[in-house]
Amino acid sequence: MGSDNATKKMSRRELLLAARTPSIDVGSYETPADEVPIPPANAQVLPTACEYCIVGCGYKAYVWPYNQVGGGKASENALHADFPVSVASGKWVSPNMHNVVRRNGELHHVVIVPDGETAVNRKGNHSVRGGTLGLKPYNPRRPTADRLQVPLVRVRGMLQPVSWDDVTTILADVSKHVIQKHGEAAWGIKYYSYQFWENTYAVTKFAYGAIGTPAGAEHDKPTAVNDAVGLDDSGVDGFSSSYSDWRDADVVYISGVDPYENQTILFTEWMAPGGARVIFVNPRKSPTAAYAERTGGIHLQVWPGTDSVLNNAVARYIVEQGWEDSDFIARKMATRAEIESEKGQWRRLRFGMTFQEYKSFLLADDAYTLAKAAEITRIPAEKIKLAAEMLAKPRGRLRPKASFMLEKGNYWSFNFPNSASLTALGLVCGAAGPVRSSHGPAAINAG
Amino acid sequence: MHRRHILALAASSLAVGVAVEQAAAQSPVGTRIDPAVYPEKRVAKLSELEVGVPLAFTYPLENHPNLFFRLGGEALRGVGPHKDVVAFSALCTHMGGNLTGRYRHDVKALGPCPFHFSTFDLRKGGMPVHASATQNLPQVLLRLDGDDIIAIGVLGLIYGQRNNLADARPAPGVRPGRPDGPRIMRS
Repeated sequence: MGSDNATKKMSRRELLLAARTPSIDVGSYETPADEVPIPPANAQVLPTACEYCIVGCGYKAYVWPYNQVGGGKASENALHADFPVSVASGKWVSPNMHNVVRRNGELHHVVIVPDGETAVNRKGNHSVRGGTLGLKPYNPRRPTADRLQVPLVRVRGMLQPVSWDDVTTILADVSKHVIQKHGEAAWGIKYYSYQFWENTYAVTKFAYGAIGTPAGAEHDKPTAVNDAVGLDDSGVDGFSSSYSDWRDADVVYISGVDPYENQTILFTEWMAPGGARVIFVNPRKSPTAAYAERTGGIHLQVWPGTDSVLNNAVARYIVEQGWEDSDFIARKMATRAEIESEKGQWRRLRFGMTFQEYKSFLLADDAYTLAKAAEITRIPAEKIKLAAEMLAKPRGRLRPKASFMLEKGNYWSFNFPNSASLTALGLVCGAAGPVRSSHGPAAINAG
Repeated sequence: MHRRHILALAASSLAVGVAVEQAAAQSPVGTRIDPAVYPEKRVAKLSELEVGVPLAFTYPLENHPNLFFRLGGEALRGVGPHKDVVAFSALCTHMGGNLTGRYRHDVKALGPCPFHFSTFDLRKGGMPVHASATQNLPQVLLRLDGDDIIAIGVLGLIYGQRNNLADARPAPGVRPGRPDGPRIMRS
């Protein structure tokens, strides 16, 4: 129990141990460690995944008693690594991957290191987030000291610590009362959406299954609705594209997201090594913008809030040139009759377009001419034109393989127009997540 | 600059020791120097360092490439009359990419790393400024002896190591450090 963990007195043996090794107190970042314990060959190994972003990198946690340490030969440690480990081996344990925790009251070392044998972060690559997973386990001598250890209930205006049994009973009784008196819809829950599966699965099962309430809201939303509405309405699953799409792409259009910062492994392990030229749509001139410009791509420094004009202007130039993926459009895009049959899907009925209708829509609005769009988005017309050429200008008989990525910089302002215009641009270029287009699969992805 | 923590290494295979030739030669029983205390090495002359031109040296072990920088402006833990002489490990603390040849004098930064673009600010103790790396670039601690610059320790674990003084031979030219000099700091 947390309270037990927080208040447990050290045994005499542990006191001696701690006195002999005062450096388990590593709260200061001014004196970084220059020695890290590595797991002995018999350390417990717990395969896990990073809990931070949707890329889902593999990690291994090693746990072992505090008074043991692995040796520098491969046979003497659980990493099966000879020290010093070689460059790019993915076997190094940085001090930020290490922590000291209590398990069943006893001090243990834990290190959480990238698992280079998994399919995502191959060769042990890691982001700044995954590389510090080891700092998260509770340690009262580190910044985790302020972590809530016990449930708190407000009694007479004061938060009071209570046991898990008590708080569970209170929650159950109050829930029963609310449901009996007011019905399931009166019982609501707001929850995050990360720490995938273990927690999210339990919460959703609880809310929508056991209780049966419609009043649940995850992540960033006020209720259980779509994230990137235009993406969903267009029939694209935002999380379905393969990482190989990013590796194999000729060009990637990145809107309102900085994958070096936020999906680091997707960028450093797949996108950058694949050599795709980057069209980086972002108001900020970040290091990724510099990367784009130095590797044959461009930075479209869009004025905030004008993304849909930019996307539509690029799309208009493409259809004006006749560079759309006609084969893909003929095989996969909805007809008017198909759109009309969308019973209950009011947004698809109201805003859905066939390709011809979409083309007419683009050509009818002067805002989407290069000159006018340049004025609105504050991006030079030549750059908008260049983006269209990079995305769709055929090279002989082949189309460039273009993939598209959007995130909250795109869809947290003008969600529907921004996400719908980006998805429409992607579909015109034959990118549709898992759907095979005329030049092989390409991705549209929400980050 | 010297760390106050004085640590006994756990009784473990970590205490393999670093055989320093000179110490071994002086000792009748082939004594190994204290594996918790950094050796020293004369690495350059202050008058030979040019502003903006990095200089390479190895320390404390032979597999540890480092770079000297005369930044032309005051830096954290800098030595010399302008406190602008600093030295750092040349190995990126993300996955060990070699940063030699990647000094940007205009911003006093080392990087981006050829592997995954990590970049470090040399004025601020090698702090990552755009990085997959989670740790500062290990800073080589320096002492001046007249015109001689002497490396006396390292702040931070060097890529590839589990201990900055274990598992490899010492760099050429190192001598035992002072007993009160910088020591190994455990995680």
